Amino acid sequence: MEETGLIKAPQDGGPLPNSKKGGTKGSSQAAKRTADGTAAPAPQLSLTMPAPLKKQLLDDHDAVVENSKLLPLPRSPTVVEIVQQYVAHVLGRQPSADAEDDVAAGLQLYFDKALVHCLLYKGERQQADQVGLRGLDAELASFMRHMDQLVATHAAILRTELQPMWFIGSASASRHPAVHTSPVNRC
Amino acid sequence: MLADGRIPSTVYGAEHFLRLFIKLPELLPASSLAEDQVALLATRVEDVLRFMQLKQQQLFLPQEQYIAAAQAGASATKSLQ
Repeated sequence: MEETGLIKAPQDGGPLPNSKKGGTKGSSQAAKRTADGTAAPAPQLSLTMPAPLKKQLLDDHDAVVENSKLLPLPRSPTVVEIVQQYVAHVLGRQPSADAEDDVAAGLQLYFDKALVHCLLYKGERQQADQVGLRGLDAELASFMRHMDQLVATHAAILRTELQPMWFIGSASASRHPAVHTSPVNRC
Repeated sequence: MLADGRIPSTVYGAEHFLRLFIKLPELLPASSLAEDQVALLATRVEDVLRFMQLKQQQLFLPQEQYIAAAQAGASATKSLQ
């Protein structure tokens, strides 16, 4: 895989952690203390990627990296439209979608901030420049500023059941120094 | 943000969005999340993935419609003017 750090989704379960349905997510890491009394690692988000979407990731990787193809931009539907469609989809099955709307909005926000750092293959950088994405240095500084600002701008979300989700991404360097150490490499 | 003030989510689509889900565990280290909160968050995010799977044919571009790099640059520049 290329320098984006995106890991080519393997056939045997993808780059996502090997989570399994059934309530085991994070359980092995969630204990407050290990047997020897040391602090256990915090539980990690563990997602299960549907198999068809894993294949989609692989095909996308092959097209861009192996075959030097690019997606035409702008895409349709856009991420904004996908998020809107998702919320509408949820409202079609239940009367309220407040929590889903919050999550979808958060995902969109993370997408906007993470794209140039984590989500582009090397071969897509020039295209990003051509569509007017700012230079990486400027975007990196903006990324960190926005992450810090999220706490303030999403105060309402912080009080919801998913309160920690956006707070973590918004943490200051003193609380989460890793956030400020080479996000490009972290991605 | 794009030079014209638009944000990437108004230009990029499902393919790049899907890549975010691979990176999400790294972007959200969850160092202060309780286990039940992590599980709830995973459930909600996976619901988005299930939706994308359900709508896969409408959301994702077939590989044969990807374009050559040189063509992509010209196309993008033209379409965004």
